[in-house]
Amino acid sequence: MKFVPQDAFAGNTGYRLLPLRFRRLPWDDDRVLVTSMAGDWLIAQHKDFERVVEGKLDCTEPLFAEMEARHLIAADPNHSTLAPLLSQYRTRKSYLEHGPALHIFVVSLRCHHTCAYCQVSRQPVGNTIFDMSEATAAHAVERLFEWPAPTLTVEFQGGEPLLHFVRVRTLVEAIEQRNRSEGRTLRFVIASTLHDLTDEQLAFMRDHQFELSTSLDGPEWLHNANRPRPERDSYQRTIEGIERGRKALGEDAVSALTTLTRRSLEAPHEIIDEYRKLGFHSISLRPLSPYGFARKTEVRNGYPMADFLQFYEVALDHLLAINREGYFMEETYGRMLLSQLLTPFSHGYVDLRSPTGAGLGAVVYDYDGRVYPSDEARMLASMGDHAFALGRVDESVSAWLDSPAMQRVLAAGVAEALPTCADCAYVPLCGADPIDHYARQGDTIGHRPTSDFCRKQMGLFDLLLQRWEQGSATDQRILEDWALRATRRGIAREAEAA
Amino acid sequence: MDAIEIILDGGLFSADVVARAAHRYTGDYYAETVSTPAGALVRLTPKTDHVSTALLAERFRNDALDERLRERVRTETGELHTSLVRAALQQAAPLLTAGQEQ
Repeated sequence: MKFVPQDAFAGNTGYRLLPLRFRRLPWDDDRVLVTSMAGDWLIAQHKDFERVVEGKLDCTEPLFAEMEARHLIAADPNHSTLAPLLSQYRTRKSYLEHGPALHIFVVSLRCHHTCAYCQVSRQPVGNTIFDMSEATAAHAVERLFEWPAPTLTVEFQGGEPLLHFVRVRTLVEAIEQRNRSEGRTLRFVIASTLHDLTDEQLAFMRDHQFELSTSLDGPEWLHNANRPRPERDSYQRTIEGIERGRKALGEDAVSALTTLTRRSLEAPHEIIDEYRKLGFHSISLRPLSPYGFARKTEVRNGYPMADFLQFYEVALDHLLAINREGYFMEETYGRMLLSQLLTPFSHGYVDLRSPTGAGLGAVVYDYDGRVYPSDEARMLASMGDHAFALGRVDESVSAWLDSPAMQRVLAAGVAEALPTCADCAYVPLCGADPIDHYARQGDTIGHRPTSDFCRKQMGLFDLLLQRWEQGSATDQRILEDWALRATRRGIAREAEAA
Repeated sequence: MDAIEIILDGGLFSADVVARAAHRYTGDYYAETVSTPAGALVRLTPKTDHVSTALLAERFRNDALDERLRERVRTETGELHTSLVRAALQQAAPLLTAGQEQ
């Protein structure tokens, strides 16, 4: 038997380009990352990519099949379908389907801490006029159920929400009462210092399956310096709170976040080792944001984004080393970016959405009855800038969506349409943050070449991609494991981390 | 600080391509683009003493070439991109009631 030559099987040997973007790799100028509109990607030699764009790629080359498989080119339009690409795009954007899942209730602005980097302009402990009233809470519950999301994450924030626990309690009871007819899946989270946590509060949280999210900035010297209390025992109280929370609600019910000041940047290993010592398997390394008292103390505590990225690189390598030793530990933001890079799935992380997660993924009900599309918008409001107030809790959700503030957010909320982002290879995996750009640059659209948001995103995507591409098989497996865990956790859990 | 001037062939690089490439440099440099008989003149002036000007012209030329590739991709795929996004998200569009239809 004789085989006929290969060209006998070829149909139309030409191809057409599909929407794509590319970026030269910072660690290898001769190669490019090429991404499809749905976020599928490959790395190719720049000279080969040029041939692709010029229509000179031969259908017998391995790159041809690879580009076709990743929806970067389409061969033979008469026989190929774009349905898989559409499906992939819908999957990537599926967070659009149900509206906001994360609902933040600010029950009080009071707090017993005096953190210099406080982003919400907290109030002294005795100032009860900064507590959410019963009437405001009742309206907020009504509004909560106007949203269509089948899963509602209700997060209580402050100030320190434990200082107004009576409101937490009445809100939970009202929400559960109403949910008997609504049948939504509910998650309750409380973001708290966990200081002065009472047995009664813990019992209530256990009965309603709360998750606890607290702040732990690292070892004792660093935590106490960043988060002072008059008694100088902030670290000790936090550790006690974590232990009591775990005992009452379970090991996995308590998570912690790190806010990085300038002095934190000198201690990446110590911060991570502290989390490991306490048995955490997850750490969030968050740079300072330009809100509240953090803006006032920026000269003392702030730092350029380049310093954060340097810190993150050291931290990532330390985390990889810890994982190689057999102790699983992930960084939550890196995990989200890796899930974008290495899986086709959607996620609930509000900061990484396009269209923006502000108002479309999250809503904030402030103590005074004002409503905001994001925590950053309410932080701006606490500084006296109400540019992004959607309305009040006694108005309808549709009125909020029609508000000038929401229209302003939406007008700058699609990353794929923003200057520079429109051409960025990472944009299918990234998000738009108009409120952050407004806060930092005074403009919701923003100027990407000087944008800290963009520097952070690009810097972290580049770093993670490089570590994955150039890492050992073990490091690749560790990073892939982070990415897969992110997708397994699902939308609701990730929204909480936002 | 001295400005660095780069001239690009107007026959190869459209004004849009030159502007897009120059925009990428506006973080560290003041950028000016001028159309001249010799081609597009780009003038980049460092904003501070700390900004590196090493291989600046070479880097800019590479970026301009990449912008030219992007222009070509845009031209070939722009309409298709819009149609695909519209088709993909059709299902996510809210159903309008009779009173809301426009």
